[in-house]
Amino acid sequence: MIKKIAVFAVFLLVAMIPLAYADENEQVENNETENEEVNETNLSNETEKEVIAASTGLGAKIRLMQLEKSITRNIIAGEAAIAALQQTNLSVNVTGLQSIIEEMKALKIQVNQASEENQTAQKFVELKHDAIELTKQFRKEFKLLIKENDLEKIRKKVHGMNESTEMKKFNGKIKDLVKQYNAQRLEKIFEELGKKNQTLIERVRNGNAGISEIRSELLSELRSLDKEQRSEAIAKLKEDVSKHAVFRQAVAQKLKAEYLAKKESRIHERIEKIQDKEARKIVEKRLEKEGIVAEGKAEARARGDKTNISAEVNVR
Amino acid sequence: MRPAFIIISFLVILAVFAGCTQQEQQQQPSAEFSPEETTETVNSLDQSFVNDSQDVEIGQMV
Repeated sequence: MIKKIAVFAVFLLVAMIPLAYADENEQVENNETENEEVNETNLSNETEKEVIAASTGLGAKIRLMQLEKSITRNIIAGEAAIAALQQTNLSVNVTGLQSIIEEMKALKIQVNQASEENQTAQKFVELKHDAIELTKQFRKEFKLLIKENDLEKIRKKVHGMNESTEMKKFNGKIKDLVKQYNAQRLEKIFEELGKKNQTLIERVRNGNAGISEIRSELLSELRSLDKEQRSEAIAKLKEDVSKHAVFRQAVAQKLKAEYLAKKESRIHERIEKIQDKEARKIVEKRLEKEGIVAEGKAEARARGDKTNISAEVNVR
Repeated sequence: MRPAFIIISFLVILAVFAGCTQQEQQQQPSAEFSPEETTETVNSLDQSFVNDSQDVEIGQMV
């Protein structure tokens, strides 16, 4: 009897091997994916979503224009915050803050040119990171110059500001481009599905149908198909989603590999865009202090010494 | 004793077969898509459209 129970136990163990092996495989795969996500990308969740639309020329133009709008909003907010700070303390030194605003203005020009030149998703991500960094720098420096109570008051004042005419212009331009882009995107999806829905595409192009409607129309379109057609259509859409994931991953990897190396030339290019001599001087002074620009560059420029001006620009 | 042994052997073979089938199912995704999967795929496509009321976030100055 004992012998038979032992044989049964052995058989049972053998039977469990495939199950255990399958679970183990699944677990290893999950861990690897998690590690890859942590190690290979520094893009925020928001940027990851933004990058997908930027995979086309028109999409990249929209993202760059949206970035230009956000930088403009921050320049206006920063200038208002500096003015409010000076009202609370007349003797406060705001040169550092003004220098950041000047660099942001130059960054805005860079973004605008990138948008005009039909630059790629990569450029968008790099410039967005620069904008985030300058914003953080301003916030940090501003906090050092103000009392907590006053900061709260200024924050309320700045956040409650009405939208400027410039911002409204941005909104109009962006809306027009978004309608075009979404209509093109929908047209491409229908093409992939081998379907036609010109009415919906036109409604999207005219701004009469938004993303939620696109989603529900696509769902009902898929549900109207028979089982086999639906499976085929979903497989195609899944392929599309996978392509976007690969693109996102490529942008993240390239950003990680090239961001710092390209930063040097971006900062250099940015300084050159500052037309106002005084403004350029205060930006260079700050960058010198941070060890980004070679020491003596601002002074050399003031003297008109071209040899020293082209001195090396170090990355942050 | 012999019938009991046959039943046990049958059960073991059944367990091995079930194990193999489960493994195969995990390796080969079904070609048929559930309604949930259909919705999920369409929702994933959402990210490739642009929402004009959403800004590119770079943070607040103060």
